[in-house]
Amino acid sequence: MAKKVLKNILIYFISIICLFPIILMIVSSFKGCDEGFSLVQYGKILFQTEDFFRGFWNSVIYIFIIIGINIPISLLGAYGFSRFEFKGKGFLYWLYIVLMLMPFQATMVPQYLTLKAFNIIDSPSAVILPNIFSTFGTFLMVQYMRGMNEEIYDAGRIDGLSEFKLFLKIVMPLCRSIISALMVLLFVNYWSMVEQPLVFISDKYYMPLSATLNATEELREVAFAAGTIYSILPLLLYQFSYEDLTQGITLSSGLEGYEKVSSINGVKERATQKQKAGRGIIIFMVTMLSLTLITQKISYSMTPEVEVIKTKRGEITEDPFDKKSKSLGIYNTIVPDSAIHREGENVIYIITEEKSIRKRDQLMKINVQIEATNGYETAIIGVLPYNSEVIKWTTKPLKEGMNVRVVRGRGEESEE
Amino acid sequence: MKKVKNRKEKNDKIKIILIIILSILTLLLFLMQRNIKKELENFPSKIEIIFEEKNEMYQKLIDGRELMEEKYILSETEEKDVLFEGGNISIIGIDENYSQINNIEILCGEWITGENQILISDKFAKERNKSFSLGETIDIFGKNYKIVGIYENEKYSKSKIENLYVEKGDLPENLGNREKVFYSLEFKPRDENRKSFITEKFYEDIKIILEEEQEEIKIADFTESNRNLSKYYYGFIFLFEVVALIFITVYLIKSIKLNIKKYQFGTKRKYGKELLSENLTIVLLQILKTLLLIFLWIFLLRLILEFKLSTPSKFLPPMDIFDFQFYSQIGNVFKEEYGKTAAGYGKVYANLMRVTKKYFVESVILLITLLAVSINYISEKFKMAERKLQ
Repeated sequence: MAKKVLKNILIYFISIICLFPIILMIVSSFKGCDEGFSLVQYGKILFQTEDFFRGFWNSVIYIFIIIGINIPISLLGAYGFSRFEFKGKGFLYWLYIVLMLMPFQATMVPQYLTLKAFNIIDSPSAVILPNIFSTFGTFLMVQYMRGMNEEIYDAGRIDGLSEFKLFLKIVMPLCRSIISALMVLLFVNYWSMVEQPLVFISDKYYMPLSATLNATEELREVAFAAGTIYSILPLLLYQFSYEDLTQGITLSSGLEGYEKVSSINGVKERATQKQKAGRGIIIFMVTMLSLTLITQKISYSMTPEVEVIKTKRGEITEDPFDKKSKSLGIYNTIVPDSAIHREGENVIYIITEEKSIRKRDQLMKINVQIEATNGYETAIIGVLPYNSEVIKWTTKPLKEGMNVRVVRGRGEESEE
Repeated sequence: MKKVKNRKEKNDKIKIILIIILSILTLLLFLMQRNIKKELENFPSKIEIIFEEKNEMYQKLIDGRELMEEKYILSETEEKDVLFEGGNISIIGIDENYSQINNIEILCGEWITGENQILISDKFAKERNKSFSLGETIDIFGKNYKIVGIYENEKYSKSKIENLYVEKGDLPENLGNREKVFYSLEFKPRDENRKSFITEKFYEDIKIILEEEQEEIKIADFTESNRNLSKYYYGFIFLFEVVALIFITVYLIKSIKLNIKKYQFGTKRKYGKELLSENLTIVLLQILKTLLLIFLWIFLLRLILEFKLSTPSKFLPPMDIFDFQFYSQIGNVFKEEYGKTAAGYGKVYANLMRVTKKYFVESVILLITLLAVSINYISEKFKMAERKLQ
C-alpha cells in the first residue's frame, strides 16, 4: 500500500513538473505591471495589438492551405504505393522515407536556393510550397492502406467501380480516422513552426504567430496572454478529434487493440462531445474574427498623433525671437526644444519607415547630447540618419518601436 | 408535432420582430447623427481662455495683442451673469471682432454700432414677463439700452441662460449680490486648416508665455468640437454596415444549406439533369441572387475593413484601453475645460438634444413605412418561389 502511495506521489510530482510551464503561463497572463491580479495583458492583446491578429490569421491561413492540399496529395500517393506495382516503386518509397527523416536544418540551404531560383522567397508561398509536398502523410497512409483487405477492392470491382471511384467511394471513407489523425498531427506540427518562416520570410507582415510571438517588443510585453490564447485552438482541435486520433494511430501501428465502442450511449456521448468541441472551434474563430475587426479600429484610434519637423542647420541666438541678439554659435543639428525628452538622459524620437510591406511610421529613439539651447531651439549632437524627421509634439507618451500617425499640414505653414 | 411547429414559428416571428426593431433603431440613430452633423457645421471654430479676474496673465496677453493678431482673430469679452425678470441672463460686453469669431445670425435690426445699444435673442424678446420689440428701450439695473437687433437663438443655443450683447465699455455696473463676472479672450486661427495641437501651436505662435506659466491658463478648444461630433455619425455608418454584413452572411449560409437540401431531396426521385431542366428559371434566379449577395458581401467587407474610427487620440487613455481611472476622470476634465464658458460645451450638448428630439418622430414614421413595405414585398416573392420549387 505504502509503495503504491509513493508511486502515485512520484507520478503526480513528475506530471506537475511537466505541466509547470503551462501553469506558469496561465498564471502569469493574469498579472499586471504591479504583479497583482489584472486583465491588462488580455485587454492589450485582444483589443490593441493588431500584429497579434495579423500573425494569428497568417498561421490559420498557412495551416488551412497546407493541410488542405497535403492530405489529398498524400492520399493519392499512398493509394498508388499500396495498390499498384510499378518499376522503381521500392526506390521511390525509400526516397520518401529518407526525405521524411531528413532534418529541416540539413535541407535548409538547398531549399532556400531553390525557392530563390523560383523567385518566391519572402512571400507566403516560400513556406506553403515545401510543406504541401511533405512526405510524412504519404508514409503514414501507406502503412494504413496496406492493412486493408484485398477483398474490399474486388467487391468494388464486381460492382462496376472504376479505379478512381474505388478510391473515392471505398478507400476514402475507410481512411476517415487516419485522415483526422493526420490532420491533427500536421496541425500541431505547422501551428508551432518557427524555423521555416524565419528563414524563408523576412517581412513580419507574412509571418505566422509562432514566429512573431516573441520577436517584437510590442508582443513580448503581453507574451503570456498571447501564448494562452495561441494554445486554445490546438486544445479545441484535440478535443474535437480525440476519438479519430487514437483510432487512426492505433490502427496504423498494425495492432488490433482498438475496441469498438460497445454501448450506444457511449457513441451518443462521444458524438455530443465532438459536436460541442466543433461548436467551440466555430465560436472561437468567430470571436477572433470580430476581435480582429475591433482591434483594427481601436489600435488605429489609439495610435498617437505626432507632428514632425526636419532638423535645421544654422545659428542659435540668445533670444529666440530676436535675430539680432547675442549669438550662441552655429550648429549642424538644431531641433525645437519640445522635441527633446528628458527621461534621465536626453533622447529624441525620429520617424522611420517600418521594414515591411505596410510601411507604417515607426519611432526610433536616439540618445543625444545638448550643445546649446535658448529654451526654444536646441543644438544637439547625436547619430541621426540623413534628413530625418524629429517628433515635435505628440498626443501620447512615446516608446521605442511604437507605430505613430504623422499629422501633415504644418509643413506648408512653417515654410511661409 | 403541431405544437412544436407552432412554437418554432413563434420563435421565428419573435426573431424577425427583434431584427426589425434593431435595424430600425440603428437606422434612426444614424439619421439623427447625420442631422446633428449638418447642424453643427455652423458651430464656431475657436479657442477660448476664461479668467475670473483681470490678473497679470490677462494683462500680458492683452499687451501682446499685436503679435497675436498676425495669426489669430482676437476678441476680448466681459460677461456678467445675473438674475433679471425672473430668469438667468448673461450680459456680454463684446468688441468689434466678436461677430467674426461667432456665427450669430441677426433676424431683424442690425449689429451693435455704438453706446447704449443692445442685441437680444428672439426667445428673450418673446418669453419674458414683458415682451420686447425692436427700437424699444430696456432698463437693466438702472441703465437704459435701445434694442437695435434681435438674433436667432435657436440655431446657436438652447440653454436657459439668455445672452444679451452690448458694447464692451457699456456694461451696467453693480448688478447686485448674485453677480458673477468672467473675462474671456476668444481666438480664431486665421489658418482654417488647423486640426491638431491647437494649444501647443498657440503657445508657439504667441511666444510671450513662458513654459511655467502655461500650466496656469487653461485653453478651451472648440476648434475640434465639430469634427469630434461628426465622428459619431461615421461611427453609425460603420455600425450599420456591420449589421448588414452579419445579416447577409447568415442569409447566404442558410440559403446555400436550403438549396443543397432541396437538391438532395430532388435527386432521390429524379436525375440531376432532369431536375435542372425542369426548374431552369428558378435555378438561374437563385444563382443570380446568390452571386449578387456575394458581391454585396465583399463590397461591405471592404468598406468595413477600410473604415477608420479616427477619434482624436487625445480623448483616449494614454496606453491601456481599459484604463478605468482615465475614464472616471474624463467627466471632470470636460467640466474643467468647458464648464466655465458661457457659449461652451453645455450648449453643444443642448443642441444635440434638440436635434435629436426634432428628427425622432420624422425618422420613425419614414423608416417604419419603408421597412414594412420592403419586407412584405420580399417575403411574398420568396413564398412564391418556394411554392414553385415544391
